[in-house]
Amino acid sequence: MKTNDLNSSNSFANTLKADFYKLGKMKSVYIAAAIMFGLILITFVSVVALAHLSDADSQSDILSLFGSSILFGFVKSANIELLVTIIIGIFVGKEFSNGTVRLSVARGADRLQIYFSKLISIIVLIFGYMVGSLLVCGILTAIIGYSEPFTSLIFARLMRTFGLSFVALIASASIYMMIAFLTRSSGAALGASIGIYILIEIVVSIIVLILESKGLNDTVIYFPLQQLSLCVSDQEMEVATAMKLLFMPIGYMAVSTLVGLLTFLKRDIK
Amino acid sequence: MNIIETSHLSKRYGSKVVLDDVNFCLKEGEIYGLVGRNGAGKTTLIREILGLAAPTSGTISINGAMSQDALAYERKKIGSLIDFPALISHMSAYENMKAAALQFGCYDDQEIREILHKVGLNADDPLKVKNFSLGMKQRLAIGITLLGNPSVLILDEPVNGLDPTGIFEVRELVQRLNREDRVTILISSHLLGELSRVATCYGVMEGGKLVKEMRGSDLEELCRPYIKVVIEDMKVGLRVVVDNYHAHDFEIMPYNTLAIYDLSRPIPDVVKMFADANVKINSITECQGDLESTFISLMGGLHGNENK
Repeated sequence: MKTNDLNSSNSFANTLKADFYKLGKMKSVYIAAAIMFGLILITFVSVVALAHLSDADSQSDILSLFGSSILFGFVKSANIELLVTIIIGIFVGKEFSNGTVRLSVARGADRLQIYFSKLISIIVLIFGYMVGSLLVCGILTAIIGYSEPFTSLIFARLMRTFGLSFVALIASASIYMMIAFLTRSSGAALGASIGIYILIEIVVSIIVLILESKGLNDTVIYFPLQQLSLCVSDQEMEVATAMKLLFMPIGYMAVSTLVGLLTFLKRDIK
Repeated sequence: MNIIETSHLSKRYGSKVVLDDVNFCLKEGEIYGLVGRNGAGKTTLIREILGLAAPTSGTISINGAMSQDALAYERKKIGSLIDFPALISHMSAYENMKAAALQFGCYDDQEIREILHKVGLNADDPLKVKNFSLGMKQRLAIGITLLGNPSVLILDEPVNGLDPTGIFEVRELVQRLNREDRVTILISSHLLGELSRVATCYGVMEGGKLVKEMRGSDLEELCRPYIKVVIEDMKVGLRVVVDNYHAHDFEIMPYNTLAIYDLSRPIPDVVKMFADANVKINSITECQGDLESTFISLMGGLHGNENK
């Protein structure tokens, strides 16, 4: 019997195609998008309601002030980080529990390629969510107005926020991807990821408070999963801060990918 | 030609040995039945062959390839079904096939439809796998193994959960693939009767070791009918069998038992012969050698110490 010409084909491209197909078939991807837009709308409605409750003179000021925070906070208000965390847990965890990772490896797929294919497909999803969120936030900001003329400088800052947020989100996706590859089941991956998501916030806050009491300020930037909030909150950041916000996530991304990958390469697949 | 060969293959988890010095060989065109009780090491052997578990020691060769890259290349030609069907529950049969085909680099709509038809599933049925019966899932998983026309199939308990019709269909499919397409097949199963209908050779695993390998004809030989006589005096009884019965084909079994494979004389004559020589017979039975007891015996008995 003649075996199809499987071996000449690009196996990384095949893995990537399969992952995109599977991701596209996941309901959670669309539910997360709906939740994301819902959260943005809730923020918008709250702002409008707040403006209406205030006196007539300050209404437009309030609206335009919030217009700026809605636009620059497009990642945080949509809660993309948490939604992506959940999707990673389901996507990767289920691949292990339903045996499709096992099937791919048994058919000669390279484990390295499987890992990076999943990471890349999630990165593309993050990009899609960010663009969608930015578009919706942009439209809503246009409706309520911006606090000052929307110059090229503000646009550049917005793009910098987009870029740095994207890197920060890739770093958190890498960390949650590592957790999913370590736990190897959707339930455990979801539980561990959400647990870490909450725990890190608390632990970092405590550590930062202690450090500040000892005179060490602005240390939060060095802790894992903290860069996203800083990208969004500081629109006029200095170059040094921007560099830290760029390289700290890259460092965490490299370490988590290395740990996740090495474990996946070494451990047996059940 | 040897398709898959293992040499002194072992696997340990801490101090526990799950695979012990296994020298296994799957030849081109064979349907190899791997038999053994739970925990005998069948699935571990398969998982090592497929690169899912790393051997503690020993080597694996597929089509002569031994390096990791070359083995990965050769594994692309192997369709496998291990433990349970690897399916995505929120997708339909067609979507599952498509996802697997994209992964294997052999997506072809027509091929998927043909395979689904072959395994008795409808490509246009939107029913999600989570609503499938176990048999449907098993058939779909077998369908996935057929993607890309693999030259070797490794099936671990392929008829689990199937109804008699499903079992028949899988058997037909396995035989047809082997006969018409020359697909070499390795099947692990605990359904010995079912296995004996398709396998051309067998490997019996026990305690992580491959304790016996035999051809189909060897198994038939082991399953011959015989007269089982339990006697008081084995020494005299043996003389009766050789001198009076003129039987050359017999076997001495534990507990003063004789298995006489020469069935040329009826049981009353056999009884008379022993009685004439004053050999007390405790019991005499005509036994149909059955596959199950033969395998159980090969695997070391029901509790690991019984013999046929």
